Amino acid sequence: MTKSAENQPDWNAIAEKFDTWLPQIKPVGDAMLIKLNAGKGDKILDVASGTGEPAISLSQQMHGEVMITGVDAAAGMVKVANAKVKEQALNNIQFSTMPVESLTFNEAIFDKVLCRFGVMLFANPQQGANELFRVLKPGGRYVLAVWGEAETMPTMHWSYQVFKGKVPDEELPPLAKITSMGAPGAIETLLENAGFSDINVERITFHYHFDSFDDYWQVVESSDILKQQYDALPESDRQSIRNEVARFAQVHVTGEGLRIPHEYLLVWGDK
Amino acid sequence: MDRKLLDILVCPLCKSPLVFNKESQELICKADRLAFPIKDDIPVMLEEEARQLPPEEEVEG
Repeated sequence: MTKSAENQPDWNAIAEKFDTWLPQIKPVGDAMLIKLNAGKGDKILDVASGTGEPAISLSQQMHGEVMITGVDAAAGMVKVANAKVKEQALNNIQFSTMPVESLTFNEAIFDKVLCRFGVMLFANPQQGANELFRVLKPGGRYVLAVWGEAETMPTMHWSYQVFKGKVPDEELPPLAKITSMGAPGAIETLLENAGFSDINVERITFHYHFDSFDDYWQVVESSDILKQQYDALPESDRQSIRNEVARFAQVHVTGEGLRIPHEYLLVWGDK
Repeated sequence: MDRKLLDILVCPLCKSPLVFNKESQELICKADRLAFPIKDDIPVMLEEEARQLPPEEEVEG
């Protein structure tokens, strides 16, 4: 497994397994599509679309009446997305592998642009935001989702805490990067600098929902999302990691299983 | 391969229009003389994945 920039998971390596997380973040994509308000004939771009969401959900909703393009820099993720398109025989949706901070489209091509949990992960978020502005038509709608501040993202916060001191700092989960747009004013500044003036931000809490802690941990392990950190740990320390996370998670155990609150920023506006 | 996406893709380096070579399944930038592969119907618009065209290779279109 090769190491991605700034300790992000190796998206190509975990592409086949990433979908185990998709049901948990589906509420985010659903909220984005409501704000997007796609109409017949729209050309829509989904940037950092990963294994295809929310582009594929949009395609299913619109029954081929919009033209959707999904792009991601990780070829492995794009391959998974494209396989779903073929399997479901969806029309008017295509995926391409490309640098998300240098989109291979001319300016003002798309009526609407989506980017779910992508902007903060770009090596250069400002350049990525500049590109969203560039390819959007005047008057076009953009809808983004970015994670909130570190303490409002428990699962990542726990991972950071339990690995801190056990693995070298350069192997720690990228908590600061992932939550970098959660600080007050951060996403607004980024978008203003890109050229946007209509910027609406709503902080929303939703829940990861698992039947039990074991269920949650099974997803963590099977998705390889922390593989880099695990690989840096001695075998003897791995069980203690699970136990420490379980202690953090205890406060979120309810009669309906494990419900872990996460905050994200739903961001939208017109160019 | 649906042409709608191919029609709006441009070169990642110079943003010039691209020529689609159906036979080789490549998108070619005449200005930069780079050929971007289409793998399993997925255009791969990464410079590091592109093929540099040799001087003798002509680009039609």
